[in-house]
Amino acid sequence: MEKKRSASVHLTALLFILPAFLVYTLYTASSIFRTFQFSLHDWSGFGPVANSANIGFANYVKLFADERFLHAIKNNFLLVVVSIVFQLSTGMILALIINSKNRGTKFFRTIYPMPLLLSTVATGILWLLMFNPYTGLFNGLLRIISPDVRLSWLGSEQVVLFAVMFVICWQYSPQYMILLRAGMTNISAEVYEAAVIDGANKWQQFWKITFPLLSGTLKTSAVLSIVGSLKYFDLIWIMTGGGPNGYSELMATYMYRKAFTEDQMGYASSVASSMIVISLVVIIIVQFMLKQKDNQ
Amino acid sequence: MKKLMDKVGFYGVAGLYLVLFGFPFVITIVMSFKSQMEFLGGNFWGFPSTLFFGNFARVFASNFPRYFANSVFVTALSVTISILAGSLASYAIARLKLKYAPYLLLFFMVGMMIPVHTTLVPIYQLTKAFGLIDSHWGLILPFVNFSLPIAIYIMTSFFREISISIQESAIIDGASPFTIYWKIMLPLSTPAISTVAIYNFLTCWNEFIYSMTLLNTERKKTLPLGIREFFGSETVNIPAVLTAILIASLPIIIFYIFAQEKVVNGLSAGAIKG
Amino acid sequence: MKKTMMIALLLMVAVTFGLYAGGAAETAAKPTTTLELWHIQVNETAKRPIENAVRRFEAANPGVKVNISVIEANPYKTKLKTVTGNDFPDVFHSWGGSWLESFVDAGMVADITEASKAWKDQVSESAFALNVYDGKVYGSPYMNSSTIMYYNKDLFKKYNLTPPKTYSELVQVAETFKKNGIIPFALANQAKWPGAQHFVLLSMRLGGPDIFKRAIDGEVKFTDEVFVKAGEMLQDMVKKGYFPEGVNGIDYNTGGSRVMFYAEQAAMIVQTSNMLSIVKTENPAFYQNKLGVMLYPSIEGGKGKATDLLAGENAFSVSAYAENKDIAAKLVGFLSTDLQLMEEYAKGGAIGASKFAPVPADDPLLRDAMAQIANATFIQNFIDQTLAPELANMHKDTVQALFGGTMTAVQAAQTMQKTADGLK
Repeated sequence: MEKKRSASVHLTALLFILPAFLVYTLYTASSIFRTFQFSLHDWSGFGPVANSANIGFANYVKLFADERFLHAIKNNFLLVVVSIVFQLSTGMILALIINSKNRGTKFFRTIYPMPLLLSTVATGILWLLMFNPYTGLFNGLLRIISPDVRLSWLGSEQVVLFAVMFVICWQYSPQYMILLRAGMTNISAEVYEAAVIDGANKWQQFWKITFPLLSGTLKTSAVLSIVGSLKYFDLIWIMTGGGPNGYSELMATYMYRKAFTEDQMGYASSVASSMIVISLVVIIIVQFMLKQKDNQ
Repeated sequence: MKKLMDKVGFYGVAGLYLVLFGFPFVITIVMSFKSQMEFLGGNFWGFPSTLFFGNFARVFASNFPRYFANSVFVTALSVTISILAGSLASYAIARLKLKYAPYLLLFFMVGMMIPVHTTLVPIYQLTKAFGLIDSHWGLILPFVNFSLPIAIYIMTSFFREISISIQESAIIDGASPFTIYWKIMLPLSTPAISTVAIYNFLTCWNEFIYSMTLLNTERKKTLPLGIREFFGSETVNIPAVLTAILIASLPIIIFYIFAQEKVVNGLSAGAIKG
Repeated sequence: MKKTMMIALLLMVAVTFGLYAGGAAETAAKPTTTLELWHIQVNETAKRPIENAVRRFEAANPGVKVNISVIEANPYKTKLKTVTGNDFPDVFHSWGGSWLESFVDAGMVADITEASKAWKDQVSESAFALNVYDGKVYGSPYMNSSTIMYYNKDLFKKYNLTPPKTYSELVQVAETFKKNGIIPFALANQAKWPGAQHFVLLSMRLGGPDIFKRAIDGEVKFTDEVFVKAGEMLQDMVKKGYFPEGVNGIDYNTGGSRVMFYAEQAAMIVQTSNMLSIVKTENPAFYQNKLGVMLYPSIEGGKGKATDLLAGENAFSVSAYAENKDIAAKLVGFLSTDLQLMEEYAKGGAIGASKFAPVPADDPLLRDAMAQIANATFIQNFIDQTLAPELANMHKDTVQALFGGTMTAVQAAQTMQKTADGLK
């Protein structure tokens, strides 16, 4: 009886998983395999990869001595930290705002996700204009305080990464607002009512009820934020191209540059493979740490 | 008095965020009524001296309606298929007591870690092998593929939080896994599904590089490619591009409002927990 | 609710299918040859003329149908590196030089030496030569493109200045403008290549116009004193305030430098000849009344002349996978020489590649630009189309660092040399 049930459960499971598994394996798994294959060759990207020399792990050796790449990794991890801190906290605040019973939340709910809904191209163009030293809004506002301000937000090697990270956080905070808000719907109103009866103020309600009950969603958000930051590409490419002089370079922009502007598809594939491995390791560590916290 | 302070505090903070997150949208609307000449003439941030409708005219004179239809087709199918396939797999991982479930989840999660351009060449070659170059299905399959990891990840984590007692009582009543999935889990997970739908819609609607690489003929182009036509060689007609983007963003804004209603209405279903 | 959502989605699908069915009309007669033509001229001023020319070609060659696909330059490069085999366009835009060479080496470009004999002497020689490798012809230019020094005639007149012919004259001009609160050169260097033009021109003026060719051939090093001096001069100009502040954070494509130029906050700008058609469209009044064209000044004691030009091309090549290479080559030849096409280019402010491209009577700027090319004492292809891609990127990065003051001229030169050595 048990064996029969077990077999039917497995068959059911197989059928449930099959559609997603098929598409995903076909496209993603095979792509990863191919990428790894490319990375073992000295391949420019032109013509079949089989025509190029198989150089084993030489690309990886070169990669981990590559200053630009190491700098890019640093930038990515900086982005991870900044993203988690700012995007999640902002997303949380926004979610609380739109979840509240005050009037006008419907309006807020519609406007807040605009950064996310308006295409990245528009975001890139608008913020490029805003950061312009001469005609940009930022310097324009600063000039009210001290005239002749010509700060070069995107041109200065020290500031550029932070300027773009600000825009990235701005763009993605609403994503976490949506996710956390969805998580909040799982918390029943009765729990809050009981707390209010017990005399808890809003602050206590948040830390003792909302925050703990959202821990699952927060963990999900953290993981999403981490993987997103490690593979991030768009706004850096649009607003700075990785410059000036590689100071805002990310692993993904470096990979793109090598693959499509420098005829080094093999080397670029080693960048891509490394990115996947790095992300995997980070996520496994994070999942492990989160499980530890759970068990405490 | 305290209530008043609370309200002031609330609306103060909410208002600040409103300005911060809303102003580019406002600027975009203002820009769409400005001509490029006025913009380059120095009027960057202010209101246009006269309302200019040329940007809108240009957008509608182009193949916008066609691109729009194509985008709707590709996105609607991609989102629907990925949510169906993804929720099926998520249910199996979350609730079917499989020993290999954590590994399966990790397997799907790897898809979230892959930088977009990495798979461009392999997927192109795969699409070519299937004979799907320059076809919308050649685009839909990769889009589903990109949407699955995040769909599965989010839905699995939501499914796991739904109380197990409901499922158990359904099993006792003799319900098959599929019935539990279709009649119980899905309805209870509307917030999660809506969230995933928004994310995937966004990704597919604004996707550029694969659309550009896998599509060739004008008739098949999607909106992001159409918007690109407003980019010049070494020059960008900013008001025109922003107008095109504004119009192209309307469907996703409408979809978001629609899907958000679902998230809010899931409130009542959340009475399961606690 | 969830069911409603799905029904709504499916309805949307059905509606769009309906829209589809409406527009699915195919052409009637089956053509004997279909050619795929891909190019990057997204600007209307060049897109329409090419389309018109293609239709004329079709009319003159019955049974031939040409499908045109226009893609903006940057995505175009990515797409061209991804597609293979018969997805590769029969006729495709190229920049010649080192860019095309990668494709030639990979065997993806058809040899059109024989076919091109029919038209090659109608085409600008310098541009044509950029498509020749090992004596074989792999493409033909359809547009000339050069680097021009533009200036604001009114501003010059206002301060009693004439276009400088030498570097010391340039300094005088620049100082006068500075004193009067005007930035001498407008520049938007976020994309790196606008500023690189200055460095290249300075190097050419100092060391002779073939200095880059000699560096590539290994005859001189990238650490040669010519490049170091050019870098130092550049940084000197930056320090003296000849360029806008924060130049590396200003973007050219979104108009960052043109805005200053139009607003008369800057007096000169070094840019591609493409800017002619851009200004003509964006600001016709400025084009008519204030825009002027001059040569980049020579440097006293330097080996280069003011008439040495930095110029490249827009070309078409034939794919090695094309089914009908003869017709494809014929199309390439047509687009390189058709006079009506050249005339329509000129109307839009672009320079056609034909030697006989009509010089517009009412457009003195275009006339001057074309004369610069015709009378050039030396033509050097754009450096980022001449250097190997990795070196070209390093060149742009190092010059950007020079503008930002984060590298010295010596460091920049050494970095270039290191990259060049790494490529051997």
